[in-house]
Amino acid sequence: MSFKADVIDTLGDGTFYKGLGALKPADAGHVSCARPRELVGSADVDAALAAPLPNDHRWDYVVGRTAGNVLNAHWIEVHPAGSTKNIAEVEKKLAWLSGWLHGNSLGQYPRDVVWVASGKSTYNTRSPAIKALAAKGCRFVGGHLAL
Amino acid sequence: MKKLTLRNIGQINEASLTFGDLTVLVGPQASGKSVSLQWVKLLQDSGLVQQQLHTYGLDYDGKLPEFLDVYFGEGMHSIWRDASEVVVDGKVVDVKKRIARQQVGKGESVFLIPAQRVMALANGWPRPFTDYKSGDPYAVRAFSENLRLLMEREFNGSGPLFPQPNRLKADYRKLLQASVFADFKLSVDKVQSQKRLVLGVGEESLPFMVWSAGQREFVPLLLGLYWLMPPGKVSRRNNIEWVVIEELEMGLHPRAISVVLLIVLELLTRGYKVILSTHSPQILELVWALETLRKNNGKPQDLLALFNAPKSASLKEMAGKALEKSSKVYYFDPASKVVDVTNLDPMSPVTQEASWGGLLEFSARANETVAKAVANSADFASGDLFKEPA
Repeated sequence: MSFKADVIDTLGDGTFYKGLGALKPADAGHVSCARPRELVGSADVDAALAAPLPNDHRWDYVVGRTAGNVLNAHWIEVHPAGSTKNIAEVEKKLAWLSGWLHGNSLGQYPRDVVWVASGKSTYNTRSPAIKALAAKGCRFVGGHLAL
Repeated sequence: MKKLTLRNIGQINEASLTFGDLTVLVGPQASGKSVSLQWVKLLQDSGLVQQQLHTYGLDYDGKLPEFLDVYFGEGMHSIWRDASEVVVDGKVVDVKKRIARQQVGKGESVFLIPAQRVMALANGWPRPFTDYKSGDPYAVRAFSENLRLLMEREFNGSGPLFPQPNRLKADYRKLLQASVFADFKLSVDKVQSQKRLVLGVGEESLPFMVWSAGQREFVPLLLGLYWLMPPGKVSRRNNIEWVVIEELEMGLHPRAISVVLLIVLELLTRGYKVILSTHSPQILELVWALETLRKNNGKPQDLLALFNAPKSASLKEMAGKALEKSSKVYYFDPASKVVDVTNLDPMSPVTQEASWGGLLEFSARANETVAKAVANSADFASGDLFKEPA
């Protein structure tokens, strides 16, 4: 199966977009790719699962990108980073992602789990809360993710 | 001096520095930070520098290249080129002319604590100006000489130099005791007739060479702080307006750095303008917190919490004044112009600002490495990582 087929299999028809096309306009400005040819496609996980899993702490997006012949899945959450409340929210989403990926065909790809701040950030990469989040598998990149 | 611009000097393409009450310079090695700080000293204290060089027999014949070798150190004449330019508060300084003639010697207005400060106590006692080689930088000699004068004039009596009741606030002494000196006391003893600084605990006296690296680095800094904060009700030393400290973090544990930074705030509240050069993100953390507290009506106790310092009335008063002070941070980019990164905004599209002049780069990469390893682990894939312990 291809990344596209896995997205459709997992999230449904009409959820796969070319490049970074699945990202909402407000979020798209927070993500860039220096080599767009490497981008395989993207999906809005949050929107696709809103109906079947309305009360879950859903992660925002998945972006497929081929680097060095390996297809990686970048799991991207664009979320405020202004308080400890936001850290707790991202932790809940991360736990959800980990559980949701279990046995899921999108879970087969090497993962890069990223939190991108959507507004002003009160954290930097030395913050203990950010280190704690990294120890759970999620890296915080500030306001911009360069793939 | 409110603004200094240096162009085409040594490694510096262009450094345009508008000083805050606290100004911090960051950047890789050999990017021009130290040279810039020495220019601040030279421009403010030209007459005094010339007088001292003359007094101690260092002759440069009124010529700029020879002067630069004497002032900045051997071989440093090469930092000045035809296109070099120094501008202070919008006015170009005729450096050659200034060096050619003896300027009026006023009192010292810039106190520079150099990165090589440990050399000042190389034999356990401050070395005089003339004890150095002719190619050694002026900044080291002058600092060393000031420490010698301090010891000669103000520490003739008995009793320890640290802790000493009339030097530094009791809160600072306690914090320094805990973070730097432990049970040791800094005092003067004599071997035959030669005085020397020792760290004593009980009956034992440890000479300079057996101190910890941090203690060797810290004691010259402490003596420099004594010089800047005279005993009694005098808040500042003579005509000194500027305090320049190169790499105050050298050899110190982050807890000790924290105490020194608290004392830097004390210097600010005494009316000194302070310039620091650093490779420590901890110093930028202070500026980040200071500026954020200032913009958001932070309280003195918030600032003291940053240092885990006691909330005594005297420290609260100091912290309240420190919150009124302005800060500036500049990144010395070896490939380009010096960049103002004062906002230290992790969201900034300017890479040098978001990475705090490169000081956060390694931390970001460590996070990435750890996060990717964990995200691809069996525990993450199985969901076990997030299961509540039974």
